Amino acid sequence: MINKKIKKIIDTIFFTEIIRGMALTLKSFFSPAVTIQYPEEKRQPFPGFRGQHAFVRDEATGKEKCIACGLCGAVCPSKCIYIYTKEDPETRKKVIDRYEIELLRCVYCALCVEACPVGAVVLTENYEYSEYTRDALYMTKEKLMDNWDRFMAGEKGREYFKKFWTPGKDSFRAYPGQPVFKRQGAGNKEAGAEGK
Amino acid sequence: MGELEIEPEGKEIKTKEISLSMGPQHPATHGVLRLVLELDGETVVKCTPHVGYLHRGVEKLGENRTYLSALPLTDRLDYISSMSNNVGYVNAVEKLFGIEAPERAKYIRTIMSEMTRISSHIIWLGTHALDIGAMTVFLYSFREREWLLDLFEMTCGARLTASYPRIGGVRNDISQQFLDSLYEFTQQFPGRLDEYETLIDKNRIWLKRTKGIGVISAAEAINWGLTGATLRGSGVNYDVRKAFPYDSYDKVEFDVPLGVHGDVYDRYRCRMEELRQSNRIIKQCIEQLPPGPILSPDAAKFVLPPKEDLFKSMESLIHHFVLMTKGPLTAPPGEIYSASEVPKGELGFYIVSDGTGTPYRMRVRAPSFVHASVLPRLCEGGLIADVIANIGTIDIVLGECDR
Amino acid sequence: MIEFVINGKNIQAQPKTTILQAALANGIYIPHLCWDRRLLPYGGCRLCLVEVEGMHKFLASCSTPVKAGMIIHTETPKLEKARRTVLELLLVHHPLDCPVCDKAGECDLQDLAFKYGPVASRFADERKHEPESTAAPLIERNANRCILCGKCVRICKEHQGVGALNLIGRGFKTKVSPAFEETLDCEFCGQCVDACPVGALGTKSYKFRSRVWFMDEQENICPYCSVGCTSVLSLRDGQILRARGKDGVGISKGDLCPRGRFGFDFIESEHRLSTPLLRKEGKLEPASWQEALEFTARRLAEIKEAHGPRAIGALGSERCSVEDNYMLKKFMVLSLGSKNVDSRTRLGYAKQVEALKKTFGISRLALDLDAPLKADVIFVLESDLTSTHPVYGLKALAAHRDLKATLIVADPRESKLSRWSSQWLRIRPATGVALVNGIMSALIEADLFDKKAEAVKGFDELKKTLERYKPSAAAVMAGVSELDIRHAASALAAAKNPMFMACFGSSENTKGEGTALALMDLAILLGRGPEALGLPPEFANTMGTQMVLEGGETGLDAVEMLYGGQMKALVIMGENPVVTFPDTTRVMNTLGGLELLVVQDIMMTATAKLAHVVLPASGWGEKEGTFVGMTGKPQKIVKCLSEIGQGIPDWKILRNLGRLMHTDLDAKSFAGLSASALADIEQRQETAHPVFIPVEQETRESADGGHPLLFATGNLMQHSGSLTTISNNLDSAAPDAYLQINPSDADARRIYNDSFVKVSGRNGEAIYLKARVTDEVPQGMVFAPAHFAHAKVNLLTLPSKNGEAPIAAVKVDPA
Repeated sequence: MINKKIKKIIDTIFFTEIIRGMALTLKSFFSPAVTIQYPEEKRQPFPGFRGQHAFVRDEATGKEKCIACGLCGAVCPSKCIYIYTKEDPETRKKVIDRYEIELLRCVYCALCVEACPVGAVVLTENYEYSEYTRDALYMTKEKLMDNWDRFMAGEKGREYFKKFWTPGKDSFRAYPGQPVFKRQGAGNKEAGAEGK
Repeated sequence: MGELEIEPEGKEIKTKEISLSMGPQHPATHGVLRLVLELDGETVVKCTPHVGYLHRGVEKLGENRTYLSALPLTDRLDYISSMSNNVGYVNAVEKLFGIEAPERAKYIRTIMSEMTRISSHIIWLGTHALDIGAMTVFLYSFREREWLLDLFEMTCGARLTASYPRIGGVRNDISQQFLDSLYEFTQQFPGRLDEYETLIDKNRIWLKRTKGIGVISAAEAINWGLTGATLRGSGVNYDVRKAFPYDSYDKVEFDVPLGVHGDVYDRYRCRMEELRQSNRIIKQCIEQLPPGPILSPDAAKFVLPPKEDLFKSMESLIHHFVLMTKGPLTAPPGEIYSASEVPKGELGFYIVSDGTGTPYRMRVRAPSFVHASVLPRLCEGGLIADVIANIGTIDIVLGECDR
Repeated sequence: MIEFVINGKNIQAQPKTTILQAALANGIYIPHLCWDRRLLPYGGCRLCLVEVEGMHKFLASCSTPVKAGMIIHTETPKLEKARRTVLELLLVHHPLDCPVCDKAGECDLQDLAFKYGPVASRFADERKHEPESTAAPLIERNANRCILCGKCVRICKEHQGVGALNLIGRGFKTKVSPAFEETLDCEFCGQCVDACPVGALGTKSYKFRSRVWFMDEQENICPYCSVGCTSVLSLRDGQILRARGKDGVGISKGDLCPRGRFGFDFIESEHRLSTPLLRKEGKLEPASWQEALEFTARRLAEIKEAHGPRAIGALGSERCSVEDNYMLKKFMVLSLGSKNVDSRTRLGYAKQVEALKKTFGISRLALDLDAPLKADVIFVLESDLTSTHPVYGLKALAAHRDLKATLIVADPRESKLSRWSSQWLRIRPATGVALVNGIMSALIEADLFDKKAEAVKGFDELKKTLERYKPSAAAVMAGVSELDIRHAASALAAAKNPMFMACFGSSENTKGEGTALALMDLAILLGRGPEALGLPPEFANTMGTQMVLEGGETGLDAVEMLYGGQMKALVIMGENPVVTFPDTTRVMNTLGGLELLVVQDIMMTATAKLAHVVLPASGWGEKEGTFVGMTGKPQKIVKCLSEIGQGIPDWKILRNLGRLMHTDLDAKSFAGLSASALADIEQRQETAHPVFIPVEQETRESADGGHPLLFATGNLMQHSGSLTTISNNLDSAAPDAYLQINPSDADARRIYNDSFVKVSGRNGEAIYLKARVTDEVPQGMVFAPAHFAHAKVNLLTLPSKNGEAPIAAVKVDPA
C-alpha cells in the first residue's frame, strides 16, 4: 500500500509515464522510416490490384477480346459501363460500337471482371489515375486498349489476369499446394516488410 | 466564443446560452457529423446530433441490385472495416438462402473479420488519442494498419473497399505469402500494442481526459441499444461472436473483455484488450485453417459456376448469365435478420426476399447510428472539451450511420 | 364450379379449365414453355407436368382439364426430377449463344433452366449449326436456338390466322420455317417474335442493338389505329429500340400488329423538321420561332382584315392529341373568329357519325374490343378489318374460329376475314348498299325481321325503297346469287346477337355515308341498337378529334374548304392533304391559290412544301396528350423522348400564336388544358332513338367502255397513312405502292406481274404503278394502297358528294 503510494508520488513528481513514452519515441527516432516518399518513390502494388481498367487485346487478332455480352454492365453496382453494339453488315456478327466506362462513378469492385465470360476486361495495377478534367476519366474503348498495352501487355497480363479469373474449378475443391499453415514456414517476411 | 455583454456601469457580467454548430466539417467529428451544442459557458446544456450528410440510400440501392451487386455497397457502410460488413452481409444472405460456406472459407472470413477489427480499432485508437491530444499514437498505429492493408491488397486487390467474400464462400483463395506474413504479424502485434499502451495508458493527461467522462451504466447502455465495445465498457457481457457464433468463432478460443465503470477509459481498455483477443483468434485460425474448397460446391444456384466451364456447358453459361443479370431466381421467399460483430458493434442485416434475384427489402442495423443517438446523453452536462472524447469513445463512422 | 385441391389449397374453377390455368389464377406457378393464354393446349414442352393422386403417370397440366375432387401436387421430388431432365435434354443441343443472343436476360428457357434445371449436363452432343434466316424483312430466325415449342407456329396459325410458319423436317433437323424453306413473306405482325420463349425469332431492327438490362420500359398507346393497344417500348438513351406487346397489358392484352410493333421508328425519320421554315423569295428557309410566328400572326390578321374570318380555315389531325385539336379550335374561334375547323375525319369517320346521327340520333359509338366474341353472327361489310384494325379484326376471327360464330363477309377483295369466313359474298365493288338492301328485302319478304321495327319511324319508306331491291334484283346489282343473299338473311335472322362490322376509312372509297345508313337500317330491322354495330373509327385519335372539332358551332367542313375555292388562308396541323385527300389536282390548286398556308407538322410533307410557314411540332412519344380510340375512353400518351430540334407540341405553337395575336387561350399548363379538353368530350350522354333512313345504291362513278375498271383504294396491314410510310421498318415489309388486278383483266391487257401499268382516270390524270396480278381482287376491280406519296394514287380519287361511295372508274394499260 505504502509502496504504491510512494510510487504514485514519485510517478507524479517525476512524470515517469511521460518519460517512458518519450523514451519510446526517442527509440523510434533511430529506427528506419516506415513511410515512403511518394511521388518520388513509387509503391509496387500486389498482383491482382484493382486499379484502372484495361480492355484486353487478343494476342492472336490484335483486336479486343470482348464479345459484347454486356454482363459487365449488368452486374456493375454503379452502372457506369456503357456498351453500344450493332450488327456488322458484312459478317452479321455482333460488334462493339462503343465501350465506355465512366471512371468517376466506378467503385473498382472488379465485378465486371468476374462477370466477363471471356476475360476481356481487367483492372490494372495503375493506381495513379487522377486527372484534371472529367473527360480524361471517361474511358473509351481506345483508351482502355491503350491501358492494356501500357500496363498489362505480354506475360504480365496473363499472370495478372489469373487473379481475377474467379471462380475457377479450384475454388470448388482442395487442390495440391493449397496454402495452409506450416510452422516452419512462418518466417516469411517479404510481405508487409515495409510495415515494420 | 460566447457573447459577453458588459453592463456599462455595473461590475456584473451577464451571460447567456449560446448555440454552437460543431461540424459537419470538423476534424474531431470523424466524418460529417454535425452537433448543435447549446452551451452555458463551457458546459454543454443540450447536444443535438444531425446526421445524414453522407446519406447515399444504400438500403434502397440494395433493393435495386442483385444480391451480388449489392455487395460492394456494404463496403461503403463502415468504410474502414469493409471486410466485416461484407462478411455480415454474405452471412445474412447465406442464411436467407439456406446455404453454407465451406469450412475453409469460414476460416478465411474469420481471419478477415478479425484483421478488420484490428485495423479499425487501431485507427480508432490513433484518432481518438489525436483528438484528445496525444499525437504519437496516431503515427504508430497507422504503421500497423498499413501492414494489414497490404495483406488485404494481396488477397483481394483492394486496401479499403474489399468486396472479398462471396455468397457461398470467398472470391479467391489466400496465398501462402499472405498466411506467412499474417502469422508474422500476429507474432509481432502484441509487442506493438504494448508500445501504444506505454504511450498513453498511464499518461496523466489521458487519464484526466478519459476517466469518469461519458459514464453510462450497464442498464442504461442496454436501454440505449449500445453494442460492441461501447456496450461492454459498461460491463455488459454481450458479443455476437459468443452469443450467436457465425463463421468459425465457435472453433476458436477468445475472451470478451469487459469494463466496469462505463466511462471513456474503460471503453478504451476494452478495445485494447479486444485487439489482443483478435490477434489470438487470427493466430488460432491460421493454425487451424483446413485445405478445401473456398466456394460452396453444393450451392450451384447461388454461386457462380467455374469460369472454365462457361463455354463448355450450357448449364454453366445459363447459371452464370442469370446470376449476373437477374440474381439467384431460386432465392427462397422469406426474411432474415442476421447480425455480426463488426468493430463498431452489432451490424445487422434484415433482408426480405420475394423469390426474385434482388432483395425486396434490405435494412441495415448500423451500430454507428445507434451509438450516435447516445451522444446527447453522454455530452449533456459535461464540458465542451469532453464532447470530443465522447465522440471518439463511441467510435462512429458516418458512412455507416447515414448509410 | 368444380372443387379440387392443388398443393393442399382448395380451389374452385369453371369446368373445362385446365389445371395450369386454375393454378396460375390462384397464384400457384407451374413452369411452362409452350403454353400461351391465347392458344389451344399443345402439351409439347412437358415442363408443366403435375402429379395427380390416383393417376399412375404425370399429367401435362396445360392440357388436362380439372375434375372435381382432383388432388394435384405441383412440386414433388419426382416432378422436380422430371423437369430437370426435360430441361437437361432441351439444353443438350442449345448453342452457347447467351453472350450474343438478344433474348438473354428475358429468356424463358434461361430462367426456367436456372430455376428448375440441372447445374451440369450429363450429355455432350453436337450443337446445331443451321445458318440464320435473315433474308426476310423485319423478322429473323435462328434455328439453332429453337427449342421447337411451336408457339410461333401456333400463334401464327391459331391466333393470327395466317399460318406462315410451320415445323418442317424430322428429328434433329426439325426447324421452324415457311413452307419449302422459302423466305418468310407474311403480314410481319411480329406476334411470333413476342411469343418465342428463346432467341430463335428476333426482329431485325433490334438485333444486337442493346441488352435488355440496359433498357428502360415505357408503356405507351400505339399511335396508329383506333384500337388503342398499349405497346411496351424499350428505351435506351432517349431512343426507342423496340416495341413489344406484354401479356395482359393494355386494351389488347398484349396483342400488337405490324404497325404497333414495328412502326415506332417514324419518330426518328430523316424527314423530321427541326426548325421553323419561312418562305423567303419563293424558297423555304430556316427561321427563328419568333420570326415565323410573328409573320404568321401578322399575315393572319391582315387576311382577316381584308377578307373576313370566313376566309380562314384550319385542318386538325387525327394523329394529334385531343388537346392539340382542342387548342386549334380554340385558336380559330378566339383569335381569328373563324368556325372553319375540320379534319380528314370528314372523309371517313364522319360518314358513320352522320349516319349515326340520322338513324339513332347519337354522335358516338363506344366500342368494346371483345364485343365480337359475344356475337353469334358477324356481318362484315366491305372492310378488311384485319388490315385496318388488326387486333379488332382478330376478335372477329376468334369468334368464328374458337367460338363458332357465323362470319359473313361481304367484300369484293379477298382478305384474311374472307378466307376464314363461313360465307363470303364476293360483291361488286361499292355495292354494299345494294347487298344490304337485298338482305333487308329478303328479311321482310320472309317475315324474319324483328316486329318492333314496324313501329320505328320510316319503316314504310324503307319498305317502299326495298321494293326496288328484291333479292333477285339486289343479287344482280351486287353480283352475287340470290340464294346467297337469302342465306345471309336467314343466318342474320336466326342470330341471337348479330354484329355488324365495317370500317369507314378516309382512304377507302368503296363505302359512303349511304353504306353506313344501310348497315344501321339492317341493325334496326333486326331489332338491334347501336351496340350491335362494330364500326371502329380509323386512327388512334379519330374519335377524339371529331368530338373536339364538332363541339360548339361549326363552319365550313374539310371538303368545302379544300374543294370549295373560298379560302384565303389555311392553318393545317398534322395533316397532309396533298397526299391523303382525294383529287390531288384540286387540292393542289386550292392550296396553291392561298394567300397564306401555315403547316404545323412533324415532318416535311408534300403539303408543307407548298406552305408559306412551316412550324415544327413534336410527335407521338415526344409530348404528353390524350387519344380517344374506339372504346371512347381517353387514354394518356406519355412523353418518353426528347423533342427533335426546336420542335414543340402543337398546342404550345398555337398558344404562342394566340399570344402574339393578343388573345388569351387559357392554356397555362398542359394539365389544365387537358382537363378542359376532356371535360368537353366526356360530358356527352346520349340515348339512341332509331329511325329508318332508306338509301339507294349509288356510286360517284361507274365503269363504262372507256374506263372499264373500278379503282378502289385503301389501307394495308403495314400502312395506314403517311406516318407509316416514313417508318423504315414498315417500308422494308411493304415498300411500295402497287396495283392489284385480276388475272383475267391483266391477261386481256397484256399486263404481267411486276410490270408497270398506266392507270388513267376520267379526270384526265394518270398514274404509273407496278401491277400485282392476283385473284384477291375480282374481275372489273383494281386496288391500290393510298399512302405512298410518290405513287400519287389520290390523283385519281374523288371526294364523295352526297354520301355515295366515291369510287372512281379507270382505264388500265401497260405502261
